[in-house]
Amino acid sequence: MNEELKQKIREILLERYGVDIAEAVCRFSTQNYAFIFPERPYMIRVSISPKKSRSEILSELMWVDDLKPFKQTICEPNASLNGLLLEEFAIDGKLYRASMFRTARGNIKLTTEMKPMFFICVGDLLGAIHHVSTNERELGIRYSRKKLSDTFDALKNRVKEHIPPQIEKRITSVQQEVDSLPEELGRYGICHGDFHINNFFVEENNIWLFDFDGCTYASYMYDVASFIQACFLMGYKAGEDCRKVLYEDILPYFKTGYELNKECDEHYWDHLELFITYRVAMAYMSLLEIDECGVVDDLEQIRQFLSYIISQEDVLGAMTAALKQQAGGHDEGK
Amino acid sequence: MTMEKTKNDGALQIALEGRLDTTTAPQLEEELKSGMDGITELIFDFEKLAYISSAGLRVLLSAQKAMNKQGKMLIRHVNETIMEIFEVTGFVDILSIE
Repeated sequence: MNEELKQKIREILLERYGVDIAEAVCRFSTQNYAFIFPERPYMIRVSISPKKSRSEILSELMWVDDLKPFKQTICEPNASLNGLLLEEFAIDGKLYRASMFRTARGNIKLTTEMKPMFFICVGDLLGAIHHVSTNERELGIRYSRKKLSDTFDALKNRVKEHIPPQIEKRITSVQQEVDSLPEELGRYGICHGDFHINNFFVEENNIWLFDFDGCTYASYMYDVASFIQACFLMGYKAGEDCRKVLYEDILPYFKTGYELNKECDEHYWDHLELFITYRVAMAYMSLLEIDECGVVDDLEQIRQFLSYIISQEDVLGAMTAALKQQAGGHDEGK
Repeated sequence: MTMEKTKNDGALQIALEGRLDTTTAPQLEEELKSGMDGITELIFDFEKLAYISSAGLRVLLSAQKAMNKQGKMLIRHVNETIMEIFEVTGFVDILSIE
């Protein structure tokens, strides 16, 4: 961020929130600046020329605000000095939107540190979120957020020319299968949309959740799948059979926590593998339209890795093979 | 938040001033729980309400649900800020707003 712009934003945020971003660390992602104040329980997110509308951002904030009474470890929004959850301002004709959030406590968990209790706690958190989502839908609350199926479709159309025909066929088939599922109450509603281990901090048994920027209407299984897919791709039990790890080391514990808060019938988890495939497809397509990514160093390598996985019928099997090969490559390198 | 109540036979008007949020919503909820017997018309006056959070919306929904069984509920003098929140959460379709 250039100094002149930073100074202008600084003055505005000082007036609206009473805090000085000169004392904050600034991090930039694809759409936002995050001003993180060390040792203080809040951060400010500033979206630049936002891709999302005001009502979409306001919906995100209202939803997170609604989650808070049900789960204390949600990084909920704080109002500005004007009493607003969303502050808007223009600098040199460009629109900016700012929100203050409570910050998370703890640290990102390394995959080597993941124990059964961790999966129980993550399940407990996500079950509570999906319970609130179901309750809101029952009450008739309907936020201005997109459906994931529409986002998926739009993304596919944007990157279509970069996808090999065989993979496109496979993605379309997965998409059709997901889209054919009924949007049933208790299984479908507003979701976090990007629920993975880089979006929560862990402090003992408390999971502090943040980054609700991608909240969307989808099957709840998409959030579960996002978490599981990320565990594998970040190296949880790398080299072992992913399906075995999923059903023996992750899911039984995750379900124990999840079902503390969320009612699930015997078929609730039936489509988990389908949604893991859907999530892999989403990740693959997202990487096709960006030039750099803060999470991975070698973008082309991860694209090839995901394209191999998504091209196979058995995604967990393909993930096992690809991760084994990668682990082998690393061993050889050593 | 301050609350001003006016009761006239079966009609109860509640004028709210300030913020209806996580902190203040239980106060309204308690008021509604105890004072709804025999009420056939519940009117909220939001002229001086500056902000409503999700917790406040939940109380309104409960009130609407209760009034569906015993009469009607109206919300009057909704300002721009509150109306926007009603719109983004789909409340405009659920509540009767004048």
